[in-house]
Amino acid sequence: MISAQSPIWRRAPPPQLWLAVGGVAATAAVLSASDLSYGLPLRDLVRVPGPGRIILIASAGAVLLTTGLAPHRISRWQLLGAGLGAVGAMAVLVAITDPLAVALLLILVGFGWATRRGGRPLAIRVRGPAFAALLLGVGWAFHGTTAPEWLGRAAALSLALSLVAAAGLFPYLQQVDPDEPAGYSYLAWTGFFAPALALTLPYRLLPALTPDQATVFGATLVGLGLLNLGWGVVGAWRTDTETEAWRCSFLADWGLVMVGTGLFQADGLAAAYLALLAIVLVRLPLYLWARPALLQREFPAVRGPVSVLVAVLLAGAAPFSGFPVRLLLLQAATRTGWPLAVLLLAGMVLWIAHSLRLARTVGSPRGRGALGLWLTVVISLILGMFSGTIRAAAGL
Amino acid sequence: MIATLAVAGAALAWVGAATLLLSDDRRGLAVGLAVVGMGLALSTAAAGQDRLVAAALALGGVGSGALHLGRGTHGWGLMRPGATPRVIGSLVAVILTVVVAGAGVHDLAGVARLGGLVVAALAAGRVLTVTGRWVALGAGSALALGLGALGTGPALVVAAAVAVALGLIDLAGPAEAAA
Amino acid sequence: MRVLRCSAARAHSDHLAPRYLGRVSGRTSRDIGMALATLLLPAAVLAVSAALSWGADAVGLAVGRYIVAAAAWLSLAVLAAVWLAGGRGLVEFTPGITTAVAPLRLRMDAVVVLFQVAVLVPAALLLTFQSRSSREAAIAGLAAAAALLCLEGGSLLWTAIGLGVCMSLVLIDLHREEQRGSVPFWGVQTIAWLLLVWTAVLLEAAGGTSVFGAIPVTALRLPAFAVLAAAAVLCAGVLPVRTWVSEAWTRRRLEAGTLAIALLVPIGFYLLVRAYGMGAGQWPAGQANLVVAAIGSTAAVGAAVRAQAATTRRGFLAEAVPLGSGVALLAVGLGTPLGLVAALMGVLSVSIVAGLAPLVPSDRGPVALLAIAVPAGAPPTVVFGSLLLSVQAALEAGVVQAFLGLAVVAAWLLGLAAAARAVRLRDASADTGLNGSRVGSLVTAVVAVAAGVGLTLVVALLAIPAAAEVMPPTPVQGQGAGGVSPSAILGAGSLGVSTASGGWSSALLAGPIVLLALVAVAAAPLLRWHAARTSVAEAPLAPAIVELEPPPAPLFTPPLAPVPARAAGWLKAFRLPAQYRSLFRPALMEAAVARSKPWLWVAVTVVLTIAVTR
Repeated sequence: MISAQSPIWRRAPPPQLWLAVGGVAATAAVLSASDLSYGLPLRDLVRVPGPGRIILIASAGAVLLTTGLAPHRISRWQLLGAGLGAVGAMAVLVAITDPLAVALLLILVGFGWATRRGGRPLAIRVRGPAFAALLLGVGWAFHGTTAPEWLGRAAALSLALSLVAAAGLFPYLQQVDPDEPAGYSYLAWTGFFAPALALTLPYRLLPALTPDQATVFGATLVGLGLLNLGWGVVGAWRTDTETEAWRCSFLADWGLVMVGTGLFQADGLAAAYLALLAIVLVRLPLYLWARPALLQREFPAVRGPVSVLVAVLLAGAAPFSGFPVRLLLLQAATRTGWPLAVLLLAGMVLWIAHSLRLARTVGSPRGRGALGLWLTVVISLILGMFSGTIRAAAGL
Repeated sequence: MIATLAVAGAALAWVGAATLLLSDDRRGLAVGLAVVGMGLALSTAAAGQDRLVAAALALGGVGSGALHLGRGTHGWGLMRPGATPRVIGSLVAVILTVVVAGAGVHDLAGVARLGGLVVAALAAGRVLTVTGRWVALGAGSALALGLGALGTGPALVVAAAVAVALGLIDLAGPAEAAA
Repeated sequence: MRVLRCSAARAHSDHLAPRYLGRVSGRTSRDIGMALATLLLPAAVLAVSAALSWGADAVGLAVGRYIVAAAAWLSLAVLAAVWLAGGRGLVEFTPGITTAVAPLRLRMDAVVVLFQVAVLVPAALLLTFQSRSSREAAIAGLAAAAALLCLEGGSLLWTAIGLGVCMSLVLIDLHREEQRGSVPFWGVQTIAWLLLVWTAVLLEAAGGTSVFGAIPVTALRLPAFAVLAAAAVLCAGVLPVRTWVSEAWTRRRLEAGTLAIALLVPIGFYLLVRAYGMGAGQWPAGQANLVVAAIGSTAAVGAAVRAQAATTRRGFLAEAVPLGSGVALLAVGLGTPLGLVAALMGVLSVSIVAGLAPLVPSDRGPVALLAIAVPAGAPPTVVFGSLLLSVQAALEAGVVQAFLGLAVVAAWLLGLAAAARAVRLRDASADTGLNGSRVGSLVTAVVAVAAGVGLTLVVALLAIPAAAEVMPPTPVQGQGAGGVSPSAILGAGSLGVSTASGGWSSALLAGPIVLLALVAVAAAPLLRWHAARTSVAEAPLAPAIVELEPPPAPLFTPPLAPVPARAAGWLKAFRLPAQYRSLFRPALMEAAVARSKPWLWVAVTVVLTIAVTR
C-alpha cells in the first residue's frame, strides 16, 4: 500500500528524521518510565497514568495512519517527523506530575510547534498555549491558598480554564485559516495535544483541590462543556464554510469531554476518555481525509453507502465510537440531574444536522485514501464495540 | 533585611517585565529578560528557596536575554510613540496583582509569588498582543521565568531551561515577517 | 453458564452460556441447540444472504435480490420451525462478552417471535416482489437482520443498540435511493433512539438494570415511561399529524421507504408491549394508558381523514399503515388483556398492510380492488378481525376508552369510504413507471384473508402467548390485574372470540364469505364468456377520444391540513428585527473571539473570576 519508492517517501530530510527518532525515543522512555521510576531519582516527577498511556499509543497510531494513508500536499517524511515529534512532546507532557512544570513545558511545546513555517505567524499561533500555561501556572500556584477563600476558588477556575484555552475551545477560540496545512493549524492542539492534557491534568489536579475548589472546577468544565456542545453543533450546522464546520465539530466533541470530566463520576470520566480517543483516532483522521475537498472547495453529493456510513459514524450512532460516549455521559448526567441530561440530549439530537455536511467533504476516496478511510471506520467500530475493554485498559 | 530583599527582588522583576513590555528592540528585550531573571532569583532566594536553584533562574534570565541579543533590530526601542497604553498597563497590572493576589500573601514566599505573578501577567499580556516573532519569543521566555518563580525547586530549573530554550529557537533562522 | 428453570405455567427459562451447553438440569443439548438456533439463525441467514448479494454485485451478477428474498422466507420458516419445535419457552443467552459498554444479552420469547414474524412477513414480501439491485438488496437484508437482533435484545440497552444499527442501515438504504426526505427521517429516528437510550439509563438508575427479566417492577416510573412512550411513537410514526411513515410514500421510488416502515414500525410497538413486562403487566399510571390510547385514537382518525382526502391512490395507501397503527396504539394503551391481544393482532395486521400496500397494482382490476380493500379493514381479513377486537377491547375497558373506541370506528368507516374512492383515483406510481406487483398483491391479500379466517388460530398461537409473557396470568396488585388467559378471550375449542362484550367466530363468519368469493371468481370467466358470445354483434366501436373521468371529490377537506405547511413557511420566513440581528450572529462573535487581539479572552476570564468569587 505504502510504497517506499513513491516520490513522496523518497527523501527523508535529516531534521525530520531526528525529530521522529527523538519523538519515538521520548515516547518509549515515558511508556517505560512507570516500570523504571522507582529505580530512578525521578520517583515523583514522572508517572504515566493509565489513560495517558493509552492516548499516547492512540496518538502514535493516528500519526502512522494519517501519515501513511491520508491525502497530503507536503512530504510524508516531514509529516512523520513532525507527528512523531509531537507524540514525544505529548509523552513528556503526560508524564510530568507537577502541573507547574507542565505549564512551563506547555510554553516550550507551544513555541516549538509554532516555529514550523507556514500558515499564520508564530506570535498568533502561540497565544493559546501561552495563555493556557499562564492560567495553569497561576491556578496551580494559588490553589493552596485557603485565606481568603475566594482566591482558592479563582485558582480552581483558572485551572479549568487552562484546559479550555489549551484546546482552543470557546471562549478561547483560535483563528483557523482554511488554507493553512492541518498540522500547523490550531486543530493540531484541539485534536492532538490537548486530549493528552485533558486525560492527565484532571487526575493530577483533583486530589489537590478542596471540595469547594473541586466544585468550581467541575462546574466550570460542565458549563463551558455545554456551551461548547451547543456552539459546536449549531455552528457546524449553520456556519458558512466547511472548514469552520469541521472546527465546530471538534468543539462539540470537546463539549462532551468537558461535561464528562466535570461530573467527577466514573462513567463521566470514561465517557471523556472514550471521546478523546475518538477525537484522536477518528475525527482528526477524517478531517485530514476531508482536507483536499476543503482546499478545493468542491463537495460532491452524499450518495454512496460509505459517505452515509461516515455521516452515521460522525453522528455517534450505535455501534460506532460516539455511542458509548453518549450512553456513559447520559448515565453520569442522569445521576447528577435530569435537566443536564435533557440539555445533552438536545445537543446530541442537533448533532446529526452537521454530520451529513461533514461526510460530504470526506467524499468517497479511492486507492490508498479509501483504505485509510475504511481503517478509520473500523477503528471507530472497535472503539464502539469494545469500549468496555478499552475502558478497562485505562483502569477507568 | 531579608524581607526587604524579597520585596526589592519582586520590584526589580516588575521593572524588568515593564522594560520588556515597553521595548520594541533587542536591547530593551535582552535587558528586560536579564533583570526579570535576577529580580526573581533575588526574591525567591530571599523567600527561602535553594540558592543554587535561584541562581539557575538568574542564569536562565541572563542567558535568555543574551541569546535574544542576536536578533531583531538594534537599539532599545523604549517607549516609542503609541506605547502609552503599555505604560498604563504595566502600572495597572502591578496594582491589580497586589490588590487581588496580595490578600493571599502571608509570608516571604508569598511576596516572591507576587513578583512571579506580575512578571507572568505582563509577559502574557505581551505574548497576547504582539505580532512580531522574536518579541513573542522574548515574552515567552519571560512568561516561563515568571511562572517558574511561582513554584519551588525543580520548577525554577525547568523555567530557566525553557527560557533559554526559547532563546535558542530561530537563532540562526530567517526572521518571519510580522503579520 | 447456568440454565435456570423458570416456574411459568407453559414456559421455561434457559440462561445459556457455552461452557455449560448440553449438561444442564433436565435440558438436553438438543433443546439448547434449538434455543440457540431460534435466537441466531434467522438473523444469520439474512446476514449471510446480504454478504452473498454484495459478492454477487461485485462480480456483476444480478442475482442478489433473489438471494436475499429467498433468505427472508427461509428466515421466517426457520423461525417458525425452530420455535415450534423448541418448546416455545423463554430463552436468554448471555455469553459473558461485554461489548459496547453492556454485557451481551439476547432473549427469545413469545413476544420476540411475534414481532419477528411482524418484521419478517412484510420484509420477505417486499424483498420478493419489489425490484432492487444486488447492492440495495444486500443493505436491505442487513437492515432486516439488524431489526431481528434489535428485537432479540435481552435488555432495553441492547434493544437501543439494535435500533441504532437498524436505523443506520435503513438510512443508508434510503439515502442511496434518494436524498430527499432521508434527513427528516434520520432526525426523527435519532430522537427516538436517543430517548430509548435515555430510558435504559433511567431504568438502570432507578432499578440497577435494564435487563427485561430483572427490572424491578418499581423501576419503570412515569417519567421513564413517558420517555419510552415518546421513543416508541416516534419510532413507529404514530401521531395525529403526518409522520415519516406517510412521508416515505412521497419519494419517487418506494423500495427503501416502505422497507423502513416494515422494519421500524413494529419495533416501536415492541417497546410499548415490553413496558407491560417491565411493570408486571401494567404501566406505571392509568393516565399513561389513557394518553397513549388517545394518541392512537387521534392518529387513526387523522390518518383516515387524510386518506379520504388523498388526491392519488398512493396518497391513500400512504395512510394505510398509520390507520392500522393508530388502532393498534389505542389497543395497546387500554391496559387490559383483551386490549393487549388486540394490539398484538393489530401489529400483525399492520405488518401485512406494510407488505401489501407498496405492491398494489395501478390498474382497477379485481386484484387491485382486493388489495385496496385489505388495508381499509374490509371483512374477512385479519385487518378486519384485529380492528373488531380493538373496538371490543375499548368498549370493555372503560367509559373514556369506549369513546376512543367509537372514534376508531368512525376512522374505520372513513377508511373504508376512502378505499372505495381510492379505486378511482389516479395512481402516482404509474407516472414513474412503477406498477406494483399483481402476484405479490394477490399472495399477500390471500394471506390476509386466510389469517382472517383463521384469526382465532393466530390469536391462540401467537398473540395470547406473547401477551401472557408480559401480562402474566398470576394476579398482581393494582388495577387491571387479571393477566392474559386464553379462556377469557377465546371460546371453547378456540373456534371463536368470546369476550364480555360479545362473541363471534371468525371461521364461521369468514368461511361463507370466502366461499362466495371463490364461487364468484370461478363463475366470472363463464359469465364473461357468455356476455361476449351474446354481445359480439351489437358491440359498438370504441370511441376515438376517451373522456377522462374526473377524480372523485373527497368527503371533506381536512380541517387543519394547511396548518403544518403554514407553520413551516412561517418559521422559514421568520427573521429577527434588523436591530437585534447582530446579537444572534455567532459568526460575528466567533470572529471577535478568534481574529482580533485576545482582549475578549481576558475579559471573559475576568468576568468568570468575578462570578465564582462572589
